[in-house]
Amino acid sequence: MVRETAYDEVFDSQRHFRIIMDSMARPGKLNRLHDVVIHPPPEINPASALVGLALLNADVSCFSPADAEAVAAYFVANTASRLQPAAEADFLFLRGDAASGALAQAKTGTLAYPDTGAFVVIDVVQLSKQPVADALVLRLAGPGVPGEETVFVRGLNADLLAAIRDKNAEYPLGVDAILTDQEDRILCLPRSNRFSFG
Amino acid sequence: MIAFQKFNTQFNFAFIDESTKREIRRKLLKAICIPGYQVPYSSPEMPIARGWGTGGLHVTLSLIGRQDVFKIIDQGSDASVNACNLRDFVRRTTDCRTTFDTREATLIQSRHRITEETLSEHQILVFQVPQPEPLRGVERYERKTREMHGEADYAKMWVSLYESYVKYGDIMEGAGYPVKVNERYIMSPSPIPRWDVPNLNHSQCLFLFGAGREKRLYAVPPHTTVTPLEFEDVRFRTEKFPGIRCAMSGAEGAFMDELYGEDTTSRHVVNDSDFLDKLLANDEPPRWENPYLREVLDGLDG
Repeated sequence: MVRETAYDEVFDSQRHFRIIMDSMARPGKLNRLHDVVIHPPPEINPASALVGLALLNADVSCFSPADAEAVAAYFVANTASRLQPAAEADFLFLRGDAASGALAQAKTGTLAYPDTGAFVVIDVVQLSKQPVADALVLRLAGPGVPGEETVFVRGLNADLLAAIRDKNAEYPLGVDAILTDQEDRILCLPRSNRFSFG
Repeated sequence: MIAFQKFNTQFNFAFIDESTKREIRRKLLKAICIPGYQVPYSSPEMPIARGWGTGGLHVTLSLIGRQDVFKIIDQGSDASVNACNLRDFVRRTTDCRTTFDTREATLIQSRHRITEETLSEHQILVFQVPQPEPLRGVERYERKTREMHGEADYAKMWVSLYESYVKYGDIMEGAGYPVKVNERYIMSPSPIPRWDVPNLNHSQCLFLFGAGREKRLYAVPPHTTVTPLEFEDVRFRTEKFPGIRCAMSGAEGAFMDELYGEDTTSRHVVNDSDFLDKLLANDEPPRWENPYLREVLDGLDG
């Protein structure tokens, strides 16, 4: 298990948080998270690993699927975060080509405290503002989006987006998704977003 | 020599420890995901008392990095006691550059005003909030107000506005006029004057709110619908300053302070100190675009 030493807990996490916050406040905007050399397991996109390093600590729990146990072990070693099953975890790290089983179990919070819903970090192959071959077309609207934004997503199972939409149907209950690609781009889908895809 | 050891420890960059910063950061993300919803947070101890801007300071210190240019205003002024002391504290714990210039700042903390100058997408405005719960006036228990927000049950709020109209002929909320965010949550915009409230609607910048004493964070993302509560026949209005000119710049169409002299005479001065400085330097800063301000400015031309 790799213990990250190049990652600066104070300044890298601050800078990355600002980028994640910018993406969360402006869904449809593609930012990049890539200025630190880290050594995450091959099962996870480096940008997803940076999201975890920026936001996780011993106060929250994380989940990764059974075929990517190295990811969970990586976060436990580097952030002291706890492991929990999908139904209880605060952060779920999923692959874009996975089935929606784990996502369907994720916490959505309660009406009095909807902020207890989970963050879902999903690895895809490519995020792009320009059309790319065999990509899902994701149209985003809602808070943070002036009018409508279109993003092309390659390597994402449409079932996952359908599951997110089902989860967020009873807004303010829901999950907040962060998509990362293999070129370190990130895109956020807060639960307030009214997106469609096809 | 006896050294005083007890408090002789190094503090972290931006004062707050990294673990607590992460907690505040996660809560800020949740606040952005659910615009207008009040997220409970830890509100850690600061070297100033809760209620003196700790909420804003928590948000500022969890966001700030070495590249930021920081500005802080207190009731529009860069130079009042609260602003000076918090600016000094942030500068000493982060070594960040500070500025009075609204245009130059990347992170602005504010007590009870939005700048007269418009803010861009590269800027973040952090509010210090004394009372985050807009329903507190109609419901004293937190458990009940949570339930009301959860169910979007705002009947009591509407009744109180109606009663205000029946008793006084107008909606009497002045500073901190309640607004509805993203057509879902009723939110207190912190005690900003009505003049500033329309600027929250579909802005370019991100607004973050921190209430340290009440331990709540909330947010209004950019391009988000924020509407002041109003009835079809009793509309929201902003303050008007008819015929009043700034005694220093001669300007009209800005939020004014009324200042009294020793001889009991009064004069009006533009409230936003940086805006006033720019007017005096004949530098016309870009204004916010909203129909209420447009109406005031159009009235001046006529």
